[in-house]
Amino acid sequence: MWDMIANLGLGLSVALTLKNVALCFVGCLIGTLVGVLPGVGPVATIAILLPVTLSLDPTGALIMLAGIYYGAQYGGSTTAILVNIPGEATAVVTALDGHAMAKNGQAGLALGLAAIGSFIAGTIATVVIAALGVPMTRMGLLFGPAEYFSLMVMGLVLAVVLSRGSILKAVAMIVVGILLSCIGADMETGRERLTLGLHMLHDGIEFVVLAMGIFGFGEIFKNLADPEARDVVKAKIGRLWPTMRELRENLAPMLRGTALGSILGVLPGNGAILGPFASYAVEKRLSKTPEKFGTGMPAAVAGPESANNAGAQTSFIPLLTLGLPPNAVMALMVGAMMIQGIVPGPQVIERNPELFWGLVASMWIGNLMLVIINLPLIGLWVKLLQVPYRLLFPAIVAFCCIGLFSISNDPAQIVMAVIFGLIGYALWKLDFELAPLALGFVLGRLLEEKLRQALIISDGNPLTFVTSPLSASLLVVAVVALAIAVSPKAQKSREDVFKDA
Amino acid sequence: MTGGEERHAMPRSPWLGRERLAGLVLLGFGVLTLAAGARLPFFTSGGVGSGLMPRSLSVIVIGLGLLQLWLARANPGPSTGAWSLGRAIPVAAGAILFALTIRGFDIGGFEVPELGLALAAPLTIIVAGMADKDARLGELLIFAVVLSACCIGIFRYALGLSIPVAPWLIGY
Amino acid sequence: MTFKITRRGALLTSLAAFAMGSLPATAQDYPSKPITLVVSYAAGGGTDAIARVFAARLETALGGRVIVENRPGAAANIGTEVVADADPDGYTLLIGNQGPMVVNPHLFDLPKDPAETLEPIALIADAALVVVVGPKLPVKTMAEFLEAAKAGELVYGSAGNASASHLGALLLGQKAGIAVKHVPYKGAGPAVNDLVGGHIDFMVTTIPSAIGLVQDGTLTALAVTGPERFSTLPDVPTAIEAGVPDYTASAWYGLVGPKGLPPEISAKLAAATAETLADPEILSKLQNDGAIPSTLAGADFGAFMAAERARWGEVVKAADIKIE
Repeated sequence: MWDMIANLGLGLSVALTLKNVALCFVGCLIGTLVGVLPGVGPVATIAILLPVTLSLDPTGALIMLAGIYYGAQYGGSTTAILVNIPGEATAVVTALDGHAMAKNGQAGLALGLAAIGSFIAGTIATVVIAALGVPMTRMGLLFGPAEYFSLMVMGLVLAVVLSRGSILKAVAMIVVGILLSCIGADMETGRERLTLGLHMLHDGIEFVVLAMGIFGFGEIFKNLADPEARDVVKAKIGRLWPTMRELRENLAPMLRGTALGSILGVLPGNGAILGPFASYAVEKRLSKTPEKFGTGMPAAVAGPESANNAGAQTSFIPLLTLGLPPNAVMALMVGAMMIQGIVPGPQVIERNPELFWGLVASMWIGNLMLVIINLPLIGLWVKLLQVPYRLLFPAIVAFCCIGLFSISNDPAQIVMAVIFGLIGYALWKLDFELAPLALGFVLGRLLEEKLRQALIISDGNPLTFVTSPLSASLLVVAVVALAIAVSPKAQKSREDVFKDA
Repeated sequence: MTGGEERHAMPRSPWLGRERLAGLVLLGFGVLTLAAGARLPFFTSGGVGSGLMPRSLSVIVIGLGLLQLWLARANPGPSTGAWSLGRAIPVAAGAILFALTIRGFDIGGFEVPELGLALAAPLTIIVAGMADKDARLGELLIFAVVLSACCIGIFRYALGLSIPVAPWLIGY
Repeated sequence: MTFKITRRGALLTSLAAFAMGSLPATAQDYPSKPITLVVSYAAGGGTDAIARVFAARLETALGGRVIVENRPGAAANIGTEVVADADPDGYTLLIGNQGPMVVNPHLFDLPKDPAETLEPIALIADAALVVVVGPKLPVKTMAEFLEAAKAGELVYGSAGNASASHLGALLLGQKAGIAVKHVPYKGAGPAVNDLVGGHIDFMVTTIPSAIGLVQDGTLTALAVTGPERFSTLPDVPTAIEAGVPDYTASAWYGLVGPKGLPPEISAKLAAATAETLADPEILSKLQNDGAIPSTLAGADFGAFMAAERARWGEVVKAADIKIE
């Protein structure tokens, strides 16, 4: 305990130098910008800025790059809430109730809760990294392909819990999502699958393309077809800030979200994406009014946003303690460290304590800065919604096009997103929900990858999923959760929703 | 969530009811992916083949589609209402125009010039903007120019993305 | 301020060229406009990082702008096609690495054969791989490893199908005469993770992805796959020293352009590459990243690629990998 305080003290002394505070600020600012812009993610931004950081010292460079990463996570929520375009899988959940709140004239409240939830989660996650980094890394290592597969199965069950209407339709959307994730070159043999001979499908579908299509373009098609509905939105602009009472009510979801996000963030292979989904499912389960989820429940924004930010933060744990990157951004951080002459691995904490603790401490400072940067911006964002829609949507189309093109300098991605937009509109017309589709798509890829890896390792023996105690217990949790989701009681609350509609 | 009164109206034919259409769409999608993946192997010597997931999931989608049709046999669901796709066309056209002109394109001998961000972006904003019933050309024009200038500043210069700006004028 | 002047300069030159019926580029005024350096992978990968560090310094050596453009897709074949189709004027270049340059021609039916449609300019760097085992296979030397391999098929992870780590392990199996089983991952990171977690037996991976864990003792390095020992792992023998005859494998990166590049421009680029690689700062950055800067240029680089292509062709054929 005493050690931890001393270590964090060392970290603060490094992170609070004028230069490092400035770098942290610049990183958070760039991160917020690329997060808000659809399509331009933190990976591309960090890669482009890598040569620039070479002139900085290693600690300063990493503090700035880390700032871009969590700044982008943060900015992504803003776009999800305001215009229903989730730039990353984690923001799909935020968009569900967040955008609904914006439509109800509560954009300020949604953004405020997201900001404060993220800050609380970031603060706690920083302490978690400092105190529990090493034991949590060990937990992460227990997840081999078999355990990971079972975790993904559990995640897919959460997607059923997430949905509001017909269970059959929700399950169908999840399966369709997994099928869409199968499109493209097979990971094991490189063989083309389900591409219908189309070149643009050869490398599979990027999540951003799917999300910008079904959510971004889909929403525009929807609003243009139904002009009355969108004008109603514009008319009501509510309060900008959450009240103390609203904050108090949402403190518990924030803390639960932080706990879930912190644990899942450590898992390899981007386990952090499950955090917001798990948080949403938990809040819906615990809520006295589960039927209101999806129509703009503050807890459904506060919880998942906290989980998202906590996971983003704890995904640094495997990087810092073992040099193992759990996602693409962290892999880039490994590259940045190597180029700076720092060997990522267990020794970093002993050989470069000022770098390790400085980076950890800077995360807390960064979170504070994000609140400082973003709270005043809330007013600006809300005003953005007052821009006449006839100008807002062409701007969204232009930003989406540039973002889509920049993913791989490939114009075909834009065409693909337009097609997904039309599909998204049609699915909405047929009363299908899109969030389960997006979740099925994200988890589907990992599901198949891990299934095949596990079966190669076990010589094709499917018992590998139940002989591992961890894998078996995850499967049990999945079955129980599914049973609860389809139980008559849960069904009844679904029907109530149906009557209201 | 539902869009106005008309969505609850009775469909002209029971096959146009929302729930039945949903079942048909699932059925169609499942058949399409099953056909597209028909030649992928289920298993290989080493374990799971590349066809296991696509083919079994396609069968599940077909099954869910049939189940949905069966559930909707008595109540085909309300009409889906007007689709108003006419308004989607300018938006789709604007985006596709951007795709074609940002770096130029060669469709069967007809060459689309490489316009770069400086022209492709305003073009997209104006064409897409015409989709709205209250669109005003003059206002859109000014808006397009200002916004495009901002986009060039943000994407090309602030973020350093390698997106062509005006190849016909400054070489990139 | 200087920035503005160069841009205006570029504008004037291009206008002049336009007026005079687009003259061929001459080596004296090359480069008179920004050079596009194509990378066949998405921003954020290993090749991309090397390209960006390299491009930043190359700008100074050439005295002109170099813009890195990512053109990922189709197992890195898109980038090859883009550059093969470009005008051979020196303004569109490619960072070529062993995957698309010498392995893919054996796997795919390529519309543009890199050996025929691309011109070698200079090899940039050559990075050896390292054979590592984790807690699941507690052996200390290559000899013990080969002994263990005889007792049962060993499972190895790779960064993906046909990646350097996949082919490196395949070749190890072929040269040492042992049976190995492939588990593909998406990138080296998750594979090393499962190696540390004890879910797979071994990997032949890039040095940066494992060196920290080797120095710490979490993983054991049995051999490096280069012709010489690696400076930061002086105690680890080369594979040949450790008793695997004739086994070397590496991941390399080079600068190539479209076929028909004027020799003067090609020479100017090779000289600029040599100048860039001689910069102590770039040198140390590359070495930190596990790569050894190279001096091969022009025809020598072409011969190197031809040899690599023949060698990996045999590996691919023997392992019967094909992509339909």
